[in-house]
Amino acid sequence: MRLYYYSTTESDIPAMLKDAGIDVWQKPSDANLSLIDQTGLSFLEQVDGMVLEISDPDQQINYFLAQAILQRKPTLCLYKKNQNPRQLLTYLRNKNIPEEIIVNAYTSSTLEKYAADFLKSLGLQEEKEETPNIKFTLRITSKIESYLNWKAKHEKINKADYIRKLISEEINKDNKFNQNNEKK
Amino acid sequence: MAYKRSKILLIYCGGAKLPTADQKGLEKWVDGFIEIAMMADVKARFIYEGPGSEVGRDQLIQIIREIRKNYNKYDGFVITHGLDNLLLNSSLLSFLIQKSGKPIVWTSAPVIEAKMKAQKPIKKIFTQYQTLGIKANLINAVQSATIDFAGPCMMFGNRLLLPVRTMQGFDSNLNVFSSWQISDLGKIQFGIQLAPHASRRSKTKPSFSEEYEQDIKIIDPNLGLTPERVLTGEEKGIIIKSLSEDPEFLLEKIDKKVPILIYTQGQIKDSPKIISAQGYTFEAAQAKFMWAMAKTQSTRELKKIFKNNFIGEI
Repeated sequence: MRLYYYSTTESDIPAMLKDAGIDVWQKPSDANLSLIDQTGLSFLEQVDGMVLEISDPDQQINYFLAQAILQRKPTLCLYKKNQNPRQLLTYLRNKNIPEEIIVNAYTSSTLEKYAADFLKSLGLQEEKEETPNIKFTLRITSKIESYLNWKAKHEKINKADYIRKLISEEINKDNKFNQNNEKK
Repeated sequence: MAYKRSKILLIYCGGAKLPTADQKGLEKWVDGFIEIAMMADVKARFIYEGPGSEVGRDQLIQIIREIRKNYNKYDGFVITHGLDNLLLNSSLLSFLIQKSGKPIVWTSAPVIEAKMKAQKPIKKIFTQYQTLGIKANLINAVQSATIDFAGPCMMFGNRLLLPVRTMQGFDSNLNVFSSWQISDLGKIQFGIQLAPHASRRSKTKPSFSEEYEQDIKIIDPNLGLTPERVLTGEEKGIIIKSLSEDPEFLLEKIDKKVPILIYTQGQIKDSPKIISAQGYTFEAAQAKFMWAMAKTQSTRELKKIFKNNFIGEI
């Protein structure tokens, strides 16, 4: 999961997002700039969403929001509860603003919840909330064992986590299974 | 602390689908375009609706007059235009409005068939972009009109280009235009990054002119536009566009009473009877010829004008 973060002021938000396992971009060099140059497509095509701290908006924030609105890119707009960006909020409360643009007034106690809700809306949190608690015995070949040992050592991940990760990726790719689940 | 919002004049000369092709239709369209309202205080003026190929003298003069009348009231100007003739008209107005200390940004809708050569995953993204029509480019154009930049430019895809040093190509991406022999004025990556050679805002007073010669014929053998087919004897000037290194055979068929501009990729023999457009893009050469012909009909004087660099065209 990759998000672009921008603010005109210092904030704990990027650190909080990174702690949640999100790949957070904050500067141009984080992106694949040559892809942007070659195709002419917006940098937003390379991220899953944006988080903008809009307590003290500038021209750049308005520009990013304009792009997000046009492309319906999931965007979380956060502002401090005692620091309303009045003019910007007037636009963000317009009925034509797409539902992908979420606006929240936050305090130190509510910030994490709003971020978590946003990440959940992007499909991230569901998996993290599930704790593996079902025992499953799997007999493997020596070749597979050798590979798992090598992988665990080189990627600094334990073998069980690695296998769970592989299967989770297969689940996400399996449209038939996911469609079947939605019907239930 | 609230930042100061820029005031932008949007001059509409085609490129979108308005509810009605008039000022009221434009205002309704702009009112619904919340993205640009968020970015700046945008006022809109309707000039023309239709293909770029039909934008003529009347429309160009109206554009000049709108910018002249409103120059002190706005921080920047955005002009929309159909894709056809965009290069020529933006180049021509670059000669007619000189030394602007504010940005004058031209833009248009993305190319319909840009997806032709694209790979499958990118094709899907391009299709999405094409349905957004002119809006994607217009957001970037309005942003360009708010930053510390001055003079004419074209905003297309993710590039900011100097019209008189821009060429058109049909690649597999949304950057239909590219800079010729210089680097882009700016790029859109995260926001707009201006090149060091881009002009910055200033308090200089621009010069405005409405004078240019329209009655110029183009001879282009590659398109079958031979002298016999094109020339009427009434034209005020002639442009020969030829891939041949030596267009002498064409010159022999032309009555040389009017100024003749030669645009060719190869070397041509210097002659007192012709003006060379070497070092120019074709549209810049054509635009400069039209502008210069309003000042003088003398081939000798036109040769001097074409050797001088006025707005970065060579």
